[in-house]
Amino acid sequence: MSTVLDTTVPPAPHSPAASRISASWLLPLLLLLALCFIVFYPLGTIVVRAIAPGGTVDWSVWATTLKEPSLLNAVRNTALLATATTCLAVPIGVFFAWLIERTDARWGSLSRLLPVIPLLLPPVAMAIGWLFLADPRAGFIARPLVSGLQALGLPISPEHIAIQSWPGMIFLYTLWGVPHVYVIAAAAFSGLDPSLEEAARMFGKGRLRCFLGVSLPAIRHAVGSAALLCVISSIGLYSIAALIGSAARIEVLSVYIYRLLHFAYPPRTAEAVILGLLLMVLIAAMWLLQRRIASRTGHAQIGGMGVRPNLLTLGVWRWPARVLVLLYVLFTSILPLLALVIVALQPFWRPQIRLGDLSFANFAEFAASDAARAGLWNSSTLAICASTGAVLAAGLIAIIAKHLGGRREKTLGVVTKIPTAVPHIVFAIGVLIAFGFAPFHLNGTWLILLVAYLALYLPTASIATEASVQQVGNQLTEASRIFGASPIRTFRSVQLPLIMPGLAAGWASIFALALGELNAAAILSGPHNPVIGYLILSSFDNGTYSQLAAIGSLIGVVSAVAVSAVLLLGRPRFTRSASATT
Amino acid sequence: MPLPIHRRTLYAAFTLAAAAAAPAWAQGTTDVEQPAALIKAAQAEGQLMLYSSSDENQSKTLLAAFEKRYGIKGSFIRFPTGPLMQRFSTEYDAKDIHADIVSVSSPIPYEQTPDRYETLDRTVLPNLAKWPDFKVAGKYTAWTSDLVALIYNTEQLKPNEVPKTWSELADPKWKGKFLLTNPTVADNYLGWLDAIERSLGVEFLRKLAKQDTNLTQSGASGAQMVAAGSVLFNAPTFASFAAKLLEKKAPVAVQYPQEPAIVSPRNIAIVAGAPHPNAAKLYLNWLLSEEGMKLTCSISPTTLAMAPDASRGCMAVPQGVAMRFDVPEERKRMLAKELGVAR
Repeated sequence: MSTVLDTTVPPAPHSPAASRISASWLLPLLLLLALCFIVFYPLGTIVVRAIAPGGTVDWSVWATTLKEPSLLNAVRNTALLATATTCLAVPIGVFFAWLIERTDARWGSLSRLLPVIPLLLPPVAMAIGWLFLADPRAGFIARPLVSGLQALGLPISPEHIAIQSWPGMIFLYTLWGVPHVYVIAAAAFSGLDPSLEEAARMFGKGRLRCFLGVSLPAIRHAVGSAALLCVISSIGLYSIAALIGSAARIEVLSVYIYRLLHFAYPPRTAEAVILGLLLMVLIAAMWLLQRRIASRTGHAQIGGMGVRPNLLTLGVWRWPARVLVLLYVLFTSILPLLALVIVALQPFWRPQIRLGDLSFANFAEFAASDAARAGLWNSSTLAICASTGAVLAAGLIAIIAKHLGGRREKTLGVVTKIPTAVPHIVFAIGVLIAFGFAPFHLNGTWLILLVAYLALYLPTASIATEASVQQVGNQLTEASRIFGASPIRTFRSVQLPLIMPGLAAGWASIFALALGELNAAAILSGPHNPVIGYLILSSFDNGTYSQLAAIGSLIGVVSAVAVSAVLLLGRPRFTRSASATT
Repeated sequence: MPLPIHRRTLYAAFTLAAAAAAPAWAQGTTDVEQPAALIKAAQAEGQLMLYSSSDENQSKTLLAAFEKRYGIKGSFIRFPTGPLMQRFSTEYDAKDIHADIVSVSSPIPYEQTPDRYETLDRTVLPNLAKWPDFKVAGKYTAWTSDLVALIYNTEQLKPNEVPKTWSELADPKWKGKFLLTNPTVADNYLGWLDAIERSLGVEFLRKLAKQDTNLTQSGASGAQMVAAGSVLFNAPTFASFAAKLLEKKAPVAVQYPQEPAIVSPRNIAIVAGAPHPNAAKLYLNWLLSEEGMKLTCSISPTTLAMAPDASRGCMAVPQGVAMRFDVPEERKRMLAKELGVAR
């Protein structure tokens, strides 16, 4: 970064510089207003419809909604799943992040990508992949495993290792949750000041104690954010629950709401909207609690900038740690993807793989289909635009918020998180009602999906960037301003590069999520603006698993290429500058 | 006594029967085309949008043939009745109509909002003249009807082992071995459940609930699980879901359980204020043409409502219980609860 030494005296407060400053705040302000509009207008529509459906306040639907007996069951199952997932995914994700970022378990910059690979498969594709692997009678792994164990004389029956069960669901949810936690924790670790850890090591603390006593508390803000994200996303996740959970009769809230909207005629939109509102309130409360806990201690330090942290040596534990990471990647991505590819090559799913039957017919059918090509194109462009837009906007907002500080910072933080509190499908209904018809008429267009995705992924982007921004000290920013750089220049030259790892992590997250997004797509996407999510739902309900597998494996490839490119681009700044100094 | 019906056998049988009865059904099989002006207008519109809850394979094949005939490109949305009508209704309420034709099993959506559909008669659909006795319901017409079926894996079950009646599903030997389609998912599965309870009583539902079955949310998905050997059979379902798998030589076959045989209709209508009204009229009339009807029946075994004989490669009207779609909410909840698919 180059800072120009200005030889003139900095201008006095009420000179033209002040108006220059306020003019350069105009663009961020407009951006903020636009974002508020796309976030609040649909939510406002939801709130109005929930409380005053016919123009007058009416609480009668609330009674109907809450009295429904199956609602309690859905809520209980959701709470259990969310808790179990978070309790498992957060420790595992943080541990892997520590292993890769702070110890010598990593090998080369490629290993940084490894734990993120699971993000490349949309949850629905991973769930289907595991179905192909773990179905007790037809799974590629489960079937030989069961016959093998039975041959050994063990009294095992196929029902014992069904993926369509509580353990199966928790397993899948955790597999899905870990990379999300990893991305946030790794970004936090990478910017951490190593001096505390080194001091701890010098005083003879063991590696694990170092991790638990020093590294972990240092990134507690990120860990808290990751845990919260895990809980919220588990509540809103539809695909795994719909495919695997329903088979096992484990009904969760997202499927319950989806059914209210989709399987009832006329649709019980009012009830869905009320549940959405209640969820919003609950999650806002959780977020405020998390913020309260996190703000007890500040921890930003400048030392970590541009300094290559000394990696903790694991010694004899190095290779076991590496194997652990590899196994994790195997389970979450390679195996399901392999299963998807095999089924994509088969004429229809069957556990016996006959080489003679394998062909690219399903891919050819996919390529020949107008809807499929359009879907892939739409999804890719939407994912790129949504992730770039959301991340830049979130980065800007996080910096503005930091600058404003205090209560305004808190308010901005809340504003950007609000869409997460509403399950994607309910938010999508709000978007449809708000923007689909008069006066915007965006129904059935690519643009309405972009609006929805920007709003829906803003929280993910803001959590990722806030964690980064919190760890960027004020000193460099202040130095830049003292030397007369405008806020925009400061943002571009000083703050943006420093929070780049967080942005890159957020971008990668959002890109992969948006590519295979299923929930909003079910509402807003159709034959005129198909996306991958719509194609997958369609294939699952109407087509063959082989077509589904073809789409799933294709997304895996597209995600892999894009995400690797971004993560590789987002990292080297520090390693390059570090090697320049050594 | 019904035997498991393999599609090829069925086809062969009916072709023979058709050939033998040729003179008898040759009357009333001359198509009545739409006026040339309408065909021209339809071609000028150039597009058609079908909202249908019928099997995707059927819509794709029919629209492709229609395009070949008239050069009008058709697309479709396929969802179960609930989501489909919900999408349609939201669009209609906002005066942003995309659908030209709507086809669902249940007559209820058509009866609840008849003003959303065009009146159908011989002026709108000239081919109706072929069946002077056939009554159109006014704003919609019955088109096909299907027997509720069971799809089984031929590698694991021999034809004589497959359940022949619905009550056999409660046999303990099937415990944990078959897949139940969640009846709360779509109205024709719910109609099946309602008809089953009326015939076999609530006790049967309770026995079925103890069978430890997994659930599937769609017939297409269920058929795949059967083909993979994950389960021995899936019910209730429809023969159309096996069509594509049979093409790929999957080890599946269709059985129509009896006592009672349950029939699900399919209705179809033209949307009032549709964006491509002439194309819609042309398409529906073409469906009633000889070409259209033969194609419909060749995709998967089905019965045509207006031509209930076993001609044109179709199935004859089955003796069975017509399912009800006006099941009250209370009863729906009770049925789901007894079957163990809802708490």
